Amino acid sequence: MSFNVLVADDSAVMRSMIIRILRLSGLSFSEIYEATNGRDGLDILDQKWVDLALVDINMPIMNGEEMIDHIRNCKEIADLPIIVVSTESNVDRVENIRRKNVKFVHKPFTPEALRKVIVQLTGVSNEQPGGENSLSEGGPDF
Amino acid sequence: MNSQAEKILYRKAALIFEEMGFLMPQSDICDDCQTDDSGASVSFTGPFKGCLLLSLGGEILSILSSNMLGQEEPVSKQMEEDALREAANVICGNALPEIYGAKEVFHLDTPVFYNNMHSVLDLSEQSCIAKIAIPFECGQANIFLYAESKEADYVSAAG
Repeated sequence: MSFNVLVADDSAVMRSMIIRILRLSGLSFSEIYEATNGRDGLDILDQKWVDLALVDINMPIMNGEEMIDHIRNCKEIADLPIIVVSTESNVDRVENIRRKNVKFVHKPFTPEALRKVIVQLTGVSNEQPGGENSLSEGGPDF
Repeated sequence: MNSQAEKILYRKAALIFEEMGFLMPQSDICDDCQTDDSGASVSFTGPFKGCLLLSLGGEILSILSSNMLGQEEPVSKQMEEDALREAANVICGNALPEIYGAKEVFHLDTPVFYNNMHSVLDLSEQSCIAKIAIPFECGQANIFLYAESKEADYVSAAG
Protein backbone atom coordinates (compact mmCIF):
# COMPACT_ATOMS: atom_id res chain seq x y z
CA MET A 1 0.00 0.00 0.00
CA SER A 2 1.37 3.40 -0.84
CA PHE A 3 0.44 6.72 0.69
CA ASN A 4 0.03 10.28 -0.43
CA VAL A 5 1.34 12.56 2.30
CA LEU A 6 1.05 16.26 3.03
CA VAL A 7 3.76 18.00 5.07
CA ALA A 8 2.74 21.48 6.29
CA ASP A 9 5.50 23.47 7.99
CA ASP A 10 6.79 26.98 7.34
CA SER A 11 10.40 25.81 7.72
CA ALA A 12 11.86 24.36 4.51
CA VAL A 13 14.53 22.59 6.56
CA MET A 14 11.95 20.96 8.82
CA ARG A 15 9.89 19.86 5.81
CA SER A 16 13.00 18.34 4.28
CA MET A 17 13.86 16.58 7.55
CA ILE A 18 10.37 15.13 7.82
CA ILE A 19 10.32 14.05 4.17
CA ARG A 20 13.71 12.41 4.56
CA ILE A 21 12.44 10.47 7.58
CA LEU A 22 9.33 9.44 5.65
CA ARG A 23 11.46 8.14 2.80
CA LEU A 24 13.73 6.26 5.20
CA SER A 25 10.85 4.82 7.18
CA GLY A 26 10.41 1.83 4.94
CA LEU A 27 6.81 2.76 4.23
CA SER A 28 5.80 3.29 0.64
CA PHE A 29 4.81 6.79 -0.46
CA SER A 30 3.41 7.81 -3.82
CA GLU A 31 3.29 11.58 -3.56
CA ILE A 32 4.61 13.89 -0.86
CA TYR A 33 3.08 17.36 -1.02
CA GLU A 34 4.53 20.38 0.79
CA ALA A 35 2.73 23.41 2.22
CA THR A 36 4.24 26.42 4.00
CA ASN A 37 1.08 27.32 5.96
CA GLY A 38 -2.35 26.01 6.81
CA ARG A 39 -4.09 27.79 3.93
CA ASP A 40 -1.73 26.23 1.35
CA GLY A 41 -2.27 22.89 3.07
CA LEU A 42 -6.05 23.16 2.74
CA ASP A 43 -5.69 24.13 -0.94
CA ILE A 44 -3.67 20.98 -1.57
CA LEU A 45 -6.24 18.87 0.30
CA ASP A 46 -8.91 20.43 -1.90
CA GLN A 47 -7.14 19.34 -5.06
CA LYS A 48 -5.28 16.15 -4.20
CA TRP A 49 -6.04 12.89 -2.43
CA VAL A 50 -3.98 12.73 0.76
CA ASP A 51 -3.78 9.74 3.14
CA LEU A 52 -1.74 11.29 5.95
CA ALA A 53 -0.90 14.87 6.99
CA LEU A 54 1.99 16.06 9.15
CA VAL A 55 1.22 19.54 10.44
CA ASP A 56 3.19 22.16 12.36
CA ILE A 57 1.24 24.42 14.73
CA ASN A 58 3.05 27.76 14.51
CA MET A 59 2.72 28.78 10.88
CA PRO A 60 1.98 32.17 9.30
CA ILE A 61 -1.28 33.02 7.47
CA MET A 62 -3.13 30.05 8.93
CA ASN A 63 -1.74 28.08 11.86
CA GLY A 64 -1.93 24.34 12.30
CA GLU A 65 -4.80 24.35 14.78
CA GLU A 66 -7.01 26.31 12.40
CA MET A 67 -6.04 24.01 9.55
CA ILE A 68 -6.95 20.94 11.62
CA ASP A 69 -10.29 22.50 12.62
CA HIS A 70 -11.11 23.09 8.95
CA ILE A 71 -10.20 19.49 8.11
CA ARG A 72 -12.30 18.04 10.93
CA ASN A 73 -15.27 20.17 9.86
CA CYS A 74 -15.09 19.13 6.21
CA LYS A 75 -16.92 15.82 5.82
CA GLU A 76 -14.88 14.70 2.78
CA ILE A 77 -11.61 14.78 4.73
CA ALA A 78 -12.78 14.81 8.35
CA ASP A 79 -11.18 11.44 9.07
CA LEU A 80 -7.78 12.30 7.63
CA PRO A 81 -5.02 10.88 9.89
CA ILE A 82 -2.98 13.81 11.20
CA ILE A 83 0.32 13.99 13.04
CA VAL A 84 1.10 17.32 14.70
CA VAL A 85 4.84 18.02 14.75
CA SER A 86 5.43 20.99 17.02
CA THR A 87 7.50 22.58 19.79
CA GLU A 88 4.30 23.27 21.73
CA SER A 89 4.79 22.25 25.36
CA ASN A 90 1.96 23.94 27.21
CA VAL A 91 0.02 21.07 28.76
CA ASP A 92 -3.42 22.57 28.13
CA ARG A 93 -2.71 23.46 24.51
CA VAL A 94 -1.21 20.03 23.81
CA GLU A 95 -4.25 18.37 25.39
CA ASN A 96 -6.54 20.59 23.36
CA ILE A 97 -4.70 19.62 20.16
CA ARG A 98 -4.83 15.93 21.05
CA ARG A 99 -8.62 16.20 21.44
CA LYS A 100 -8.81 16.94 17.71
CA ASN A 101 -8.05 13.26 17.13
CA VAL A 102 -4.43 13.75 16.14
CA LYS A 103 -1.13 12.21 17.17
CA PHE A 104 1.47 14.55 18.62
CA VAL A 105 5.23 14.47 18.00
CA HIS A 106 7.25 16.98 19.94
CA LYS A 107 10.19 18.81 18.35
CA PRO A 108 13.00 17.88 18.55
CA PHE A 109 12.24 14.33 17.56
CA THR A 110 14.29 11.36 16.50
CA PRO A 111 13.56 9.72 13.13
CA GLU A 112 12.54 6.55 14.94
CA ALA A 113 10.06 8.40 17.16
CA LEU A 114 8.33 9.90 14.13
CA ARG A 115 8.36 6.59 12.30
CA LYS A 116 6.71 4.86 15.25
CA VAL A 117 3.86 7.34 15.26
CA ILE A 118 3.41 7.00 11.50
CA VAL A 119 3.20 3.23 11.86
CA GLN A 120 0.75 3.57 14.79
CA LEU A 121 -1.47 5.87 12.80
CA THR A 122 -1.39 4.08 9.46
CA GLY A 123 -1.22 0.55 10.84
CA VAL A 124 1.27 -0.24 8.13
CA SER A 125 4.84 -1.33 8.69
CA ASN A 126 6.55 -2.73 5.63
CA GLU A 127 10.12 -1.96 6.49
CA GLN A 128 12.49 -2.50 3.62
CA PRO A 129 14.98 -5.23 4.37
CA GLY A 130 18.33 -3.88 5.57
CA GLY A 131 20.37 -1.51 3.46
CA GLU A 132 21.49 2.03 4.02
CA ASN A 133 18.13 3.52 3.30
CA SER A 134 16.15 2.08 6.16
CA LEU A 135 15.65 3.29 9.70
CA SER A 136 16.67 0.75 12.29
CA GLU A 137 15.60 0.55 15.90
CA GLY A 138 19.17 1.41 16.76
CA GLY A 139 18.76 5.05 15.87
CA PRO A 140 18.88 7.55 13.08
CA ASP A 141 20.74 6.77 9.92
CA PHE A 142 21.57 10.33 8.97
CA MET B 1 26.17 29.12 34.71
CA ASN B 2 24.65 30.76 37.72
CA SER B 3 20.92 30.56 37.50
CA GLN B 4 18.41 27.76 37.25
CA ALA B 5 17.20 29.33 34.01
CA GLU B 6 20.67 29.06 32.52
CA LYS B 7 20.98 25.42 33.54
CA ILE B 8 17.65 24.61 31.92
CA LEU B 9 18.49 26.59 28.79
CA TYR B 10 21.85 24.84 28.45
CA ARG B 11 20.34 21.37 28.94
CA LYS B 12 17.51 21.96 26.47
CA ALA B 13 19.73 23.58 23.84
CA ALA B 14 22.41 20.90 24.09
CA LEU B 15 19.78 18.18 23.63
CA ILE B 16 18.31 19.98 20.61
CA PHE B 17 21.69 20.42 18.92
CA GLU B 18 22.33 16.74 19.53
CA GLU B 19 18.97 15.45 18.31
CA MET B 20 18.49 17.81 15.38
CA GLY B 21 22.04 18.32 14.25
CA PHE B 22 24.05 15.46 15.76
CA LEU B 23 26.36 18.01 17.38
CA MET B 24 27.83 17.00 20.72
CA PRO B 25 28.79 19.75 23.19
CA GLN B 26 32.39 19.85 24.38
CA SER B 27 33.37 20.45 27.95
CA ASP B 28 35.58 23.49 27.45
CA ILE B 29 34.71 26.90 26.14
CA CYS B 30 36.82 27.60 23.08
CA ASP B 31 38.51 30.98 23.49
CA ASP B 32 39.78 30.97 19.93
CA CYS B 33 36.45 30.07 18.36
CA GLN B 34 34.83 32.61 16.15
CA THR B 35 31.50 33.69 17.57
CA ASP B 36 28.46 35.65 16.48
CA ASP B 37 28.82 34.98 12.77
CA SER B 38 25.09 34.88 12.32
CA GLY B 39 22.07 34.64 14.52
CA ALA B 40 18.35 34.29 14.82
CA SER B 41 15.88 35.75 17.26
CA VAL B 42 12.49 34.50 18.40
CA SER B 43 10.21 37.02 20.07
CA PHE B 44 7.47 35.76 22.33
CA THR B 45 4.46 37.03 24.20
CA GLY B 46 2.50 35.50 27.04
CA PRO B 47 2.68 36.27 30.75
CA PHE B 48 5.35 38.75 29.62
CA LYS B 49 7.23 39.71 26.46
CA GLY B 50 10.73 38.66 25.60
CA CYS B 51 12.99 37.13 23.04
CA LEU B 52 15.59 34.42 22.65
CA LEU B 53 18.71 35.07 20.62
CA LEU B 54 20.82 32.29 19.18
CA SER B 55 24.15 33.04 17.52
CA LEU B 56 26.48 30.51 15.99
CA GLY B 57 30.17 30.92 15.30
CA GLY B 58 32.72 28.93 13.36
CA GLU B 59 31.39 26.15 11.17
CA ILE B 60 28.44 25.20 13.36
CA LEU B 61 25.77 26.56 11.07
CA SER B 62 26.98 24.78 7.95
CA ILE B 63 27.41 21.49 9.84
CA LEU B 64 24.09 21.85 11.67
CA SER B 65 22.16 22.54 8.47
CA SER B 66 23.88 19.75 6.52
CA ASN B 67 23.17 17.29 9.31
CA MET B 68 19.55 18.39 9.67
CA LEU B 69 19.08 17.76 5.96
CA GLY B 70 21.14 14.57 5.93
CA GLN B 71 23.43 15.95 3.25
CA GLU B 72 27.18 15.66 3.09
CA GLU B 73 27.60 18.52 0.69
CA PRO B 74 27.14 22.15 1.82
CA VAL B 75 23.59 23.45 1.74
CA SER B 76 22.45 26.77 0.30
CA LYS B 77 22.69 30.00 2.28
CA GLN B 78 18.89 30.15 2.32
CA MET B 79 18.62 26.69 3.88
CA GLU B 80 21.32 27.57 6.42
CA GLU B 81 19.31 30.60 7.50
CA ASP B 82 16.18 28.48 7.75
CA ALA B 83 18.02 25.86 9.83
CA LEU B 84 19.20 28.56 12.22
CA ARG B 85 15.70 30.02 12.55
CA GLU B 86 14.25 26.58 13.20
CA ALA B 87 16.90 25.75 15.80
CA ALA B 88 16.15 29.01 17.62
CA ASN B 89 12.43 28.29 17.44
CA VAL B 90 12.78 24.78 18.85
CA ILE B 91 15.13 25.90 21.64
CA CYS B 92 12.78 28.73 22.64
CA GLY B 93 9.67 26.54 22.43
CA ASN B 94 11.25 23.90 24.64
CA ALA B 95 13.02 26.12 27.15
CA LEU B 96 10.23 28.56 28.06
CA PRO B 97 7.76 26.02 29.49
CA GLU B 98 10.47 24.38 31.54
CA ILE B 99 11.77 27.66 32.90
CA TYR B 100 8.42 29.30 33.58
CA GLY B 101 6.12 26.32 33.97
CA ALA B 102 4.16 24.17 31.53
CA LYS B 103 0.89 25.91 32.45
CA GLU B 104 2.08 29.27 31.10
CA VAL B 105 0.97 29.95 27.53
CA PHE B 106 3.57 31.57 25.31
CA HIS B 107 3.06 32.57 21.70
CA LEU B 108 6.19 32.48 19.62
CA ASP B 109 6.62 34.80 16.64
CA THR B 110 8.18 33.67 13.40
CA PRO B 111 11.96 33.52 13.95
CA VAL B 112 14.06 36.19 12.27
CA PHE B 113 17.55 35.74 10.85
CA TYR B 114 20.21 38.40 11.43
CA ASN B 115 23.73 38.74 10.15
CA ASN B 116 24.57 41.05 13.00
CA MET B 117 21.72 40.72 15.44
CA HIS B 118 22.99 42.78 18.35
CA SER B 119 23.07 45.90 16.24
CA VAL B 120 19.52 45.37 15.03
CA LEU B 121 17.54 44.42 18.10
CA ASP B 122 16.37 46.91 20.67
CA LEU B 123 16.61 45.07 23.96
CA SER B 124 16.81 48.16 26.14
CA GLU B 125 13.52 47.45 27.91
CA GLN B 126 14.30 43.82 28.64
CA SER B 127 16.56 42.09 31.12
CA CYS B 128 18.94 39.35 30.14
CA ILE B 129 17.81 36.52 32.41
CA ALA B 130 20.00 33.79 30.94
CA LYS B 131 23.17 33.82 28.90
CA ILE B 132 24.92 30.59 27.97
CA ALA B 133 27.66 29.39 25.65
CA ILE B 134 27.83 25.87 24.26
CA PRO B 135 31.17 24.87 22.78
CA PHE B 136 31.38 22.37 19.96
CA GLU B 137 34.36 21.04 18.06
CA CYS B 138 33.42 23.20 15.12
CA GLY B 139 32.61 26.47 16.92
CA GLN B 140 30.50 27.93 19.67
CA ALA B 141 26.81 28.65 20.15
CA ASN B 142 25.73 31.59 22.29
CA ILE B 143 22.18 31.87 23.56
CA PHE B 144 20.59 34.81 25.34
CA LEU B 145 17.14 34.88 26.88
CA TYR B 146 15.67 38.34 27.40
CA ALA B 147 12.42 39.08 29.20
CA GLU B 148 10.57 42.03 30.65
CA SER B 149 10.36 40.44 34.09
CA LYS B 150 12.84 39.12 36.55
CA GLU B 151 13.63 35.44 36.39
CA ALA B 152 12.95 34.86 40.09
CA ASP B 153 9.32 35.89 39.68
CA TYR B 154 8.62 33.15 37.22
CA VAL B 155 10.89 30.18 37.73
CA SER B 156 8.45 27.57 38.91
CA ALA B 157 8.84 24.40 36.96
CA ALA B 158 12.50 23.89 37.62
CA GLY B 159 11.96 23.18 41.29
